[in-house]
Amino acid sequence: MASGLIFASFPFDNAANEIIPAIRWQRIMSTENIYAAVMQVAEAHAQREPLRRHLDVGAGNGRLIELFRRRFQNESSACDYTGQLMKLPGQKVDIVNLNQEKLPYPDGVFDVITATEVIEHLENYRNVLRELHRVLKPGGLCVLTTPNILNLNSRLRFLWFGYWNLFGPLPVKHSALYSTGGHINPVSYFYVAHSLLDAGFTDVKVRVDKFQRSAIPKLLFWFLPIKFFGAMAWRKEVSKFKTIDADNAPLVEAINSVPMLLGRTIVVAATRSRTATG
Amino acid sequence: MQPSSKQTLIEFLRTKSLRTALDAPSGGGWLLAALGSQVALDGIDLYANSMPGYRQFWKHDLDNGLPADCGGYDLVCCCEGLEHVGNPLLLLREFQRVLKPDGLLVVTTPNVWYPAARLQYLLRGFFPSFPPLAGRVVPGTHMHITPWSWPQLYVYFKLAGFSPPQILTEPLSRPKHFHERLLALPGKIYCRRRARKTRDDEARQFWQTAGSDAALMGRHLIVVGEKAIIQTSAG
Repeated sequence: MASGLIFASFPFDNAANEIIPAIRWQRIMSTENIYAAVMQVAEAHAQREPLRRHLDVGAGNGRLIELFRRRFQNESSACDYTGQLMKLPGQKVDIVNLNQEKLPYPDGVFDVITATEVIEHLENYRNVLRELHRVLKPGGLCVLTTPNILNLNSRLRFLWFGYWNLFGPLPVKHSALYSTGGHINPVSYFYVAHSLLDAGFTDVKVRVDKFQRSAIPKLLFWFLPIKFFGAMAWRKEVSKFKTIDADNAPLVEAINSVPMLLGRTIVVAATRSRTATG
Repeated sequence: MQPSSKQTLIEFLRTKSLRTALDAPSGGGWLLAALGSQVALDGIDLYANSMPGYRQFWKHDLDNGLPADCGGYDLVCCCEGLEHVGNPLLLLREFQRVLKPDGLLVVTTPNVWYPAARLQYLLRGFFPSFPPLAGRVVPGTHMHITPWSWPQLYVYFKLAGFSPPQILTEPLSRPKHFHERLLALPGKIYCRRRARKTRDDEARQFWQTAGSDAALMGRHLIVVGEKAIIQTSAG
């Protein structure tokens, strides 16, 4: 089973500026960093495969669609739980409740699918990933982003308070499913990768959108303990429990890597195999 | 599930007036043996076609909800099942559907909030009893994929249409070592402060439970919720 990792480029490299000339970096919103990372992944894929049809799941105001159109001159479809957020003139939004409905598209029609900051809101993200796999063309690219609950800030917050960053405490009287209060589904990179492979994707890769500066001093303190206990646990898993093998070793390795310990948002890319069924 | 947890659960269930119950997943059928013949018990499991002693039995994948033809239960027990499913909210909603009004749902699951689990998450990125799934990354396999803590269970119980759930205290609800008390201290103080500050009764109850030994230091959670009498709408 093919799986691998990329941490080749750093979040704020020059390529991002080249890819997104529209962004002046004067006022970098959090989502713009994420979009820049998504565009870099798409750019790399576009070297090998044409990106003619794009689907943005959870399209919001259409910013990512706009970036894709400018760069790839492609045809974009948008789907979301509401069409009221869309600001792109003339962009149709297919209204879908992903918790209950299938995507309203035939099999294998999109060259690239993006779902930025979506899966943490979903009740059944694994089923949605199966749907993404269904509507993606063989050889097509799927890019997901979600808050990184494996970064040091999140791990330490969980250690002391029991909550990850951006995940709670959820309001007891639950109402705003689609706000940050709607982050009901914290998923770490390992389980995102596992569910992508489970859905039939291959070639799973991860990068992060930006490093959290506040985590760097913590990393200086925690790096050695994490590496030491991580190595001990690794040995135990391999020799005693036999839970790490060639298939998942790169995924497990990524868990305690420096980018994962510092990254704010994970950007996970996977492709639909040309030979896989379903 | 540890024997002490089973004992706590059975003692709790004996205080209830139960006629019909669903055991999903059934596993080895320990609940059937423990409840005896006074309760008509139906069972569901992914790995067995049938098990003697159950009134009805379905071989069924709980990730797809429940069989259409089961229902009318006073009690649903989901022992060590919720951490295996990818769509827990669907399953909880299905449990709500098959329960009678005022019916009870009991969920037992490993607790990822206890101090050693938090420390392990910090150092490894994995929780205890949530192994890296080697050789299991193939469709249809069932491993621990969904970790649970008290707040996460609370929100999902509420979303699925249950009244605010309670934790049953059991022998495993206590810390094993003194250093666990120290590690849990910031969380305990945090929960107490939240409980003190809130003016809402339900939120206060939530934070008090969140700051309890059972939620913060137990290796294992036994959570009980009652089917809420609500107007059910889609979703």
